[in-house]
Parts: sequence; structure tokens; C-alpha cells
Amino acid sequence: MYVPFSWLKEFVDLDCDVNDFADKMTMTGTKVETIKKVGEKISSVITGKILEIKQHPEADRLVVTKVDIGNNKVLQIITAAKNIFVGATVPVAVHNSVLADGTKIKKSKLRGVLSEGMFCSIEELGFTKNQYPEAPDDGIYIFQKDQEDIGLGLDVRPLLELTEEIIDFEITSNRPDCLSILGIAREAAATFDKKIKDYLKESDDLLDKNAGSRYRIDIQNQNLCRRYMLQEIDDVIIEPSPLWLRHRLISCGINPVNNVVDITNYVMLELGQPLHAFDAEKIDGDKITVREANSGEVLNTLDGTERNLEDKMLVIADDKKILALAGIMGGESSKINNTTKRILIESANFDAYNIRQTSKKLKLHTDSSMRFEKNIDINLTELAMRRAIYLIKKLCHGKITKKTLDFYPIKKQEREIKLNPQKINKLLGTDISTQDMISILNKLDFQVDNLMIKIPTFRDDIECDADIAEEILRFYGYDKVDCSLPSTATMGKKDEFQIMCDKIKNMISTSGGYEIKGFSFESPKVFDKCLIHTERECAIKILNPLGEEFSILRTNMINNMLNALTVNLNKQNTDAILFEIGKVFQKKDLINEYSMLTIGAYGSNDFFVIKGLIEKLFCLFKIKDYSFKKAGKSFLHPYRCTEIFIKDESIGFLGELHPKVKENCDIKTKVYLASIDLKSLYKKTNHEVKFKPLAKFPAVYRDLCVIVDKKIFSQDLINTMRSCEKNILEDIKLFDIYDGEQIQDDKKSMTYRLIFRSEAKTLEEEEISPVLNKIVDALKKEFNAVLRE
Amino acid sequence: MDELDKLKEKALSLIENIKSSDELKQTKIKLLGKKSELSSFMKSLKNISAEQRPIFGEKINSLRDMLEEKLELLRDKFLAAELNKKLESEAFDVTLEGKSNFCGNLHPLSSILDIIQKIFIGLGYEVVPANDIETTYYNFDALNIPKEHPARDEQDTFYISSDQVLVTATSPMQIHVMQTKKPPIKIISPGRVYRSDEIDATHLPMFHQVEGLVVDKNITMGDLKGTLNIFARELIGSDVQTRFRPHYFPFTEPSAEMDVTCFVCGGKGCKTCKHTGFIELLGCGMVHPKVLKNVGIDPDEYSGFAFGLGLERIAMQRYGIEDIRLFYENDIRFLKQF
Repeated sequence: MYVPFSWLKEFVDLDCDVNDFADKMTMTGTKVETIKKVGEKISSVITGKILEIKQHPEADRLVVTKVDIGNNKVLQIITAAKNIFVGATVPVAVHNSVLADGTKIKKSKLRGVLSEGMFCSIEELGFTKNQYPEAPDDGIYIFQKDQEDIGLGLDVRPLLELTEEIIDFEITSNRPDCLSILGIAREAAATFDKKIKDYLKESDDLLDKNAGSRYRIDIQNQNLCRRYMLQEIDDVIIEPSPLWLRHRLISCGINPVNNVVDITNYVMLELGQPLHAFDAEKIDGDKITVREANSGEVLNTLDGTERNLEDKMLVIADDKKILALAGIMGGESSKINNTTKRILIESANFDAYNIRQTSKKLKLHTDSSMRFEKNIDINLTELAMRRAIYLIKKLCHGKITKKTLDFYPIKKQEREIKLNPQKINKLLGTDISTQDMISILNKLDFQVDNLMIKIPTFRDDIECDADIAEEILRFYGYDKVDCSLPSTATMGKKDEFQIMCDKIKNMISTSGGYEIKGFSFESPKVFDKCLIHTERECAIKILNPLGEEFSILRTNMINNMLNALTVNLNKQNTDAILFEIGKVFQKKDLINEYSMLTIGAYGSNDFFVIKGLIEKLFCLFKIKDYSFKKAGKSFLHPYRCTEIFIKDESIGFLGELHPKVKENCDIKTKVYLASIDLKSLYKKTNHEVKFKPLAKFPAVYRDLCVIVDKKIFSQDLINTMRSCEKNILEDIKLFDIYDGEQIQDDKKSMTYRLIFRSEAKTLEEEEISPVLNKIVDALKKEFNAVLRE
Repeated sequence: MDELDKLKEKALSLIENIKSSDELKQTKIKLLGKKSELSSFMKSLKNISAEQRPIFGEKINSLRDMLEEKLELLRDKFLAAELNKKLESEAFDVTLEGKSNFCGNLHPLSSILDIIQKIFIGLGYEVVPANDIETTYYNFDALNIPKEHPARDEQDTFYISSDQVLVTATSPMQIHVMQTKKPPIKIISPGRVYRSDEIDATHLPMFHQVEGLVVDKNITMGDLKGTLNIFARELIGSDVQTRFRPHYFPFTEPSAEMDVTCFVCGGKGCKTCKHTGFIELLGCGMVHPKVLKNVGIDPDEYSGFAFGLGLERIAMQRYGIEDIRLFYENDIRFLKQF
């Protein structure tokens, strides 16, 4: 909400600097975002009168002028402008002056002739022709006749009202009353302990309600329109508004149109009540109806757009057509234009929710809808109408002969809340006296009588003790509340799952992995891109996504990981291990959130580096019964991938990215991916620790070398060996693989070290030999293994 | 006796000329062995008179002791020199890089979250991660944002069904916690939140928040201020100053925003803090009585405070990151800096 400081000062006597003002307002809850000083950059642009115009000797398009800038000084200025004439008073940027955009103007020679400055257009002073309708379309701004005697050599900024300080306030959604100069003024008055000036002085009384009227109002749904006022005004003369009014609109971000429209906007800015003006001559019949639109009806709104209306959208209509979208925007058909003579001014109170829905559906957000959709004080309707009538009479020569129509069946009453000082002090941790509380409330126009607080109708947000507490605290001072701490002792902690995730993060990152974060949403194209068609069915769709790219929730983190790997490959980061711990989402019967660990790597980090990380993870959590089994994953290399098991439960996969996916991602190098379901892992981490006495007897080592088919997995050989002996075979370690000379091409030689140990005694050869024989037999039988001596 | 002195002189000169441990061994045998002159002297003792014998014996023994000591010292010296020579031959280039010397890193948002969690765990808060998907009841209604409430539109919400949304704040976890735990409640709740903002340097449709909630008897606004002041000092530094400004949130009343002295200029005023010396750190307030009622906690008996802060914003301010998109681009050159 933009507020020109000078406008605010008309309501409250403020003698402080704008920065101090802003600081104090921020601390009482009306936060200032920025302060813009109009024309701040402009310097040394002064008024000058053109005395003489001559053709430039060297250039057809230029003229050489003499300009009187007061104090008996005359400058020579060269210009290409066509609209100047002898006697015209113009803005002159003299030597070393600065324009609105920061451009510095210096003396210079133009085609050999000295020019001691420049004449300015309205654009060069930071505005547009729209804001200064009297300015020429293309040329130098020329001061109008009524400004002619302004004197020479004067700073042009005050003359063009280019000196405003515009304060931008952040208005929270509970304070629609502050979407107006009046509302901000009330806050300012309370903040600075001032009285607000009598703002009703410059408004008209409504015409006697017994006077006649040409029109009737028909409100079809009184829940959606709780008050509707209409005033006919005759004999208006449509012309541009005076400069001061246009300036205020511009300062608040509204473009001036003509005096009637500008006044409706002016009153909206000043009081917070949007108004609308209809050209009465363009209305068919004498009945103004407020009703819900029927699906299929069409309205051309003032912004030149054809709007297809739907059921429930509130509209204003005459006997034949729709005139306006209630509270949002008027229609083209009853628009005020230069020939308009007779107008109808509407001041009404529409249902906030209905306006918001319509505005959202039509994607049409206006200064008016923005106010209506936050709930406007129903008693503001009349005040705004009186102010508008006053201004239209004064600035548009309007005449009023007909009575003001006012549909207002259910009068809003002021809410009453009991002041409970003890409760408020208890909530705030303060010791504010009842008297101080009452005087703060009085500052806010809350009358307190015998501890009953009357809440003005413009403060509909005040409903309970806590609301009263905040009002009191805002002006007592948040900074005056003494700091304390909750007194009950509680245990600070994370749960075991979070602790597990922290450990994993720390382990992988200290092992060289970089933690990444990916978006939770992605494009449905990932199923084709990553060859994970099976997950398409369980993807959760966002009904109102930002775009297709973000239209589903990720069902896994593969695509995010591939994107991150691609970024790093493209940035020529030669090696990478990346990992993410996060949630993925799948819908089966219900929506399921899964916590996943995903690892991606390339460069010197190959399959076995990542496998090592995963084994380290099992080691970290003392999980022993894990295994890596042959896997079939559509997105992985079919012969370089494995499924990870703990006991019989699959908890994830590891593998090299399938060449087709690589192609789809435009990845040229080998990439490895692994993913583990953390909740499954977590279930296996909960071991009860019990001390086992240290082995007393020495271990005995035996090496076993077998030749087997190349396709046979070492893990399978180990499993078979283990199954042969449960008691004394402590461990099996592969320590050599050989497939060179002396070994057939399709075979490999695998050497294992078998570690035997008994808890009861030192093992003798005759106890080990039978076990070894049994193992060799089993390997022969199951894998056709040949013992290599 | 003269002969003994002569032997001493001769022996010392021999010892002085020893060049290696081999020579040392031979010299030792020559001087102290069974066939040495010193042994002959010892043997000749029996020919000496009884009163002279102890004196002479004493002299021989002290000469032997002295020579043994000299030889021992020399032996140590040679051994040390030889060991040193061997070790020198084993020299390697200690300036070569170590093995497995690489280290990755936690994501900066994780690091910031870690710091925040440690502070609140230290203050007795339990960490309860927030959900990503909630029903509209938890995301809005229970938090005093009824259907007609303007705040429901302000936070443009992603819907996945007519009554399920991607959470617009971590606040819905407040409701779950109050429904399942009895006061005293002291929790923080980190999570991802979603709002349909177009992507630019300061906006993403998804970011991270941490929610805090305390509910007990006699919780005051003073407790809120005291707690968050400690938090700010731990997070930013002991000399940080805070300021609480009135603000509006539907689920707290009174509500506030907490500003802290600008990280960049320390409060003097600069571009980052828009020349105010302060930057906004978090939103907070006393739990709205309607919210307490919604979960069946009697607002006349209990009160509470809540707060919420954005991780990206804190990380951006703390590390001087100007583009929020960097957090999700995952370029190692970015990730390794934190």
C-alpha cells in the first residue's frame, strides 16, 4: 500500500522526519517496506523562458535558442524539439544538472555551436504523458498559462509536484482497514499520540431521503451484497483532474483517467471503499440489479477483455445487460467518457469470499477486488459516498437533485468484549495497569465503559482476549516485555531414525560424498526418460502445478540424481559422489511417503566404490546378514546391477546406469546409482548389544583355490562354503581372482582364505580336514568347481 | 705401577682410533679379553705383597671399568649411527598426498538445520519432522484459516486432491503434536514447504522451514522472547541484537516478527538490510486460543508460543548467497564451500 506522506499529514499532524515516522510505524505493527522519494535524483532543473529561436547554421533539424533563467542570466541551448516557441516557459536542465534517470547534463558543442544545457520532456523528469495529459506527445514540457507567472530560475520539482515522499506499507490480511490513507492515519495517530483531524469536514451530507429518484435497486442475494448505495449526479463535465489529484493517484500507483473516474479511485485510496461510476445515459431501464451471473453470460470489462462469466459470480445489471463485475471491474458498455453528462455513483459492500473466488477464476485482480476480498467495513459505504459527492460537485460541476438510494437491511452492531487485564498480563508476562490498557484502547477508537470494550466496525479482526492483548502490546511496546524462559524441564532429543539418517549423512560425506537436495516434484516425462514405467501408475499428480515440469511428486530420486550428475559433468567437475536423503511419494491405495537414500557417482568412483560405501553403511549399523543378489532394473545395465537384501527383504539396488538412459540424459560417461529404503534399513539396525567373551584359542587359516565358470558369483561360492559348516568356520575372505594363462577363457580361479576357530580348544588338523573336504565336495557338486593345487 | 699407566695410555689411544663396530669388537678382545695385558696384570696379582695387593687390584679394576665404559659409549654411538644409516635408506617423500584424503560435505541447508536443531535440543526441544502432504484441515482449518479466510489464497497452495495439499508451512505439525502429546510440549519440526511461486533468484515453489511449538501452563510472551533471543545469539553470535515487531499470522495472537541486526553491516545500515540495520529472521507469536480449542486444549488453562523460520533465507544471509536456485542446482563447486 503506497501512501504519500503529504496526504497522510492532512489527516494527522506529523512533524517528524519520514524515516523516523517509518521506524515508529514499523514498531507498532504497520511495517514500512520502502520509502520512495519522487524526483530525488533530479537536480538543477529550473524554469526558463525562451527569448529567441534561430536555425542552427550547420544542421537543418536543430535550432539555437536563448533562454532567460532568471537572475539576469541567459543561456544558449540547442534543441531538436519542434513544439517550443518564443515566450514559452520550460524546464531547463542547466550545466551539471541531473535528470530523473540519473543522466548528467553538461555543456557541450553541437555541430560546433555551444549548448549550455537541455530542455526537458515530462519523460525526462520521470513521468509519462498519461500522468501529465497536458504534456505534448513528443516534445518539451511547456508550463501552462496558469503556471506562467511562476518565475524563472526556480526548481521545477515543486511546480510539477515532484517532491513527494511515498511510503510503501506492508498491510497484513487482518487489517483491510489499513488499505486506506484513513486507516494508516488512525495507526499513525495512535502511534504518535495525536488526534486524527476531522476528515468528514470535506464531504457532503446525503440528500434528503424523501427526494425522488429515477432508479430502483434490486438486490437478489442479500448475503452477497449487504449494502448498496446509488447516487445519480447530473451535468458533470468530464475533463482531466487537477494536478494535485492526478499526482496522488500516480503516487499510489493508479493511472489518472478523467475527473469522475479519478475521484472514485481517490476516495478508494483515501477511505478504503471502492466506488464505481456508470454513465447513466447508457443504462437501459430504471432498475439496477445485483445478482449472480448465469453461466454463459459475457461481459466486456474496462480493460478491453471479453469475460466469460460463470454461475455465482456477482454482477451489476440493468434491464438488458450486465454493467459490471461487482466489486472487481466495470463494463465497457457503461463506461464514463468525454461526452458523459449524467452519472451514477455506486458505493456498496459485497461478500469478500464471492469477490475473491470470482477474481481468482477470472484471474482479474484490481485495486477494488483486492479491498473487497478482505472484508470492508459496511459503515464505510456511506462515508465514501458523501466524500465522492462532495468531490464530484467540486471538481466535475456535478448537480444533485435526486435522493441517495441506500439498501442496508441489517445494520451492523459494534462488537463488545470484556477487558480482562489479569488474563492479558498473564499471557504477555507483563504488569500493565488497567488504566494504561484503557488509554491505549481509547487511542485506537475503542471505547471502554466499565471494562466493556466497544470494537469499532472497521476493526472486525478483534474477536477475543488475545486480540485485545495484541492491540495493547503494540502500543505498550513489544520491547518492554521482559525476557524469560519456560520453567518446565523437558528432554531435548531426536528419534532413532533421525539419528540413523544423521550417521549415514556423516559417513558418506566424510567418505567423499556431497549431499544434494532435489525438488520434490518433477515432470511425468521422467518415466520415459529414466525407463521407470512401472512407477507411472503410482505417481501423485498436482492438480494445479506451476507447469508440466513440476506436475507430479517424485516417485524416486533417480531423475534428481541424474540431473545433479549432469550439472556436475557439464561444469567439468571430474569426479563425483553425490547423495540425497529425502522423501519420495507413491500412491497405491493410500499415499505413501518413503524415506530414501540415493547415491550417484562417476569418474574414478566406480561400482565397487559405491558398493564399498553401502557395505560400510552395514558395518556402521552392525548389520551382517546382508547380501547382493542379481537384479533386473529397467534403468540399470543388466549385467552390472544388484539388488541389496537384508535377510530376505530387498532394501534397494546398486548398478551402472543403462546406456539407453544415459543417452536420454545426454550423459557420455559411466554413471553408477544406488538407492536404499531407509525405513527398511532402520528396522534392521535395532540390535541389542550383548558382550561376547573374546576368543581364547588361536585361529587356523587354510587357503582354498578353485577354478569355476566366469559367470559364477563369488557370493554364491561363499554362501555354499558357509552352509557346509556352522561351528568352526569363522570367516571366509576372497583374496585373489586370476583368469590369466593356464586358465581356460571362460573360467576363473578364485582363492579364498578360510578362517577356523573353536571357542573350546585349539583346532587340530583332523578337525579341519573333514570340513575342508566337505566344502570342496559341495563346490564341485554345485558349481562344477575344480580344486587348483 | 708405571706399567699400568703405560697400559692405560696405550689403551686410550687404541680406543680413540676405533673406526667401526668391527674394530670395536677386536679392540675390546685385545684390551679386556682373557689374553689381554690387563688379564696378565690381574693374574700377576698373586705375586704381589699382601698389603700392596688390594691397592694394585683396585687400580686394575678401575682401569677395566673405565675402559669398559668408554667402549660401551662408543658401541652405542656406532649402533645409533648404523641405525640412522639404515633409516635414511628408507626415506620417502612425505610431501606426497595421503590416501583416501578426500571428504565430501553436507548440503548447506543440512548444516544450518543441524545448528538450529542442536540449539533447540539443548533447550529441551524434541525434533519431530513435518509431513509433506496434509489434509486441508491440518494445513488450514485447524490453524484458524477457515475456507473464507484471505490467508488461504495468499499462500498459493498446491492441491493433490480436493482436500489434500502440499503443506504451505510446517505449522500443520503443531496440530498433530498437540493432538498426540500432552503438555508440556516443546518441539521443533523441520520440513519442506510448498507454495506456487514462479522461480526466480529469491523464490522457489519449494523450500525448507523449521517450526517451533511450546505449550504448557503459564507460557508467556516473555518466554517467547527469552527463548528466541537465546536462539538468535547461538545462531548468529553473542553480540546480536533482536527486535520484535507486531505482525499477523492466523494461528498466533499476539503475533510478531523477529528481526536481528544485519549480518552484513552489523546494524549500521546497508543494501542487504535496506538501510534499517535489521533483517527479518522469523515469524512467531502466542498460540491462538482457537487453535488450542481445535485440538482440545483449554486455552484458559494452557498457553503456548510458536515460531517458524525459513532455512534458505538464513543460509543465504549467513553465507552471502544471492540466488536461491543454487541450493538445488547441486554443483559441487557450490556444495564444497560450506
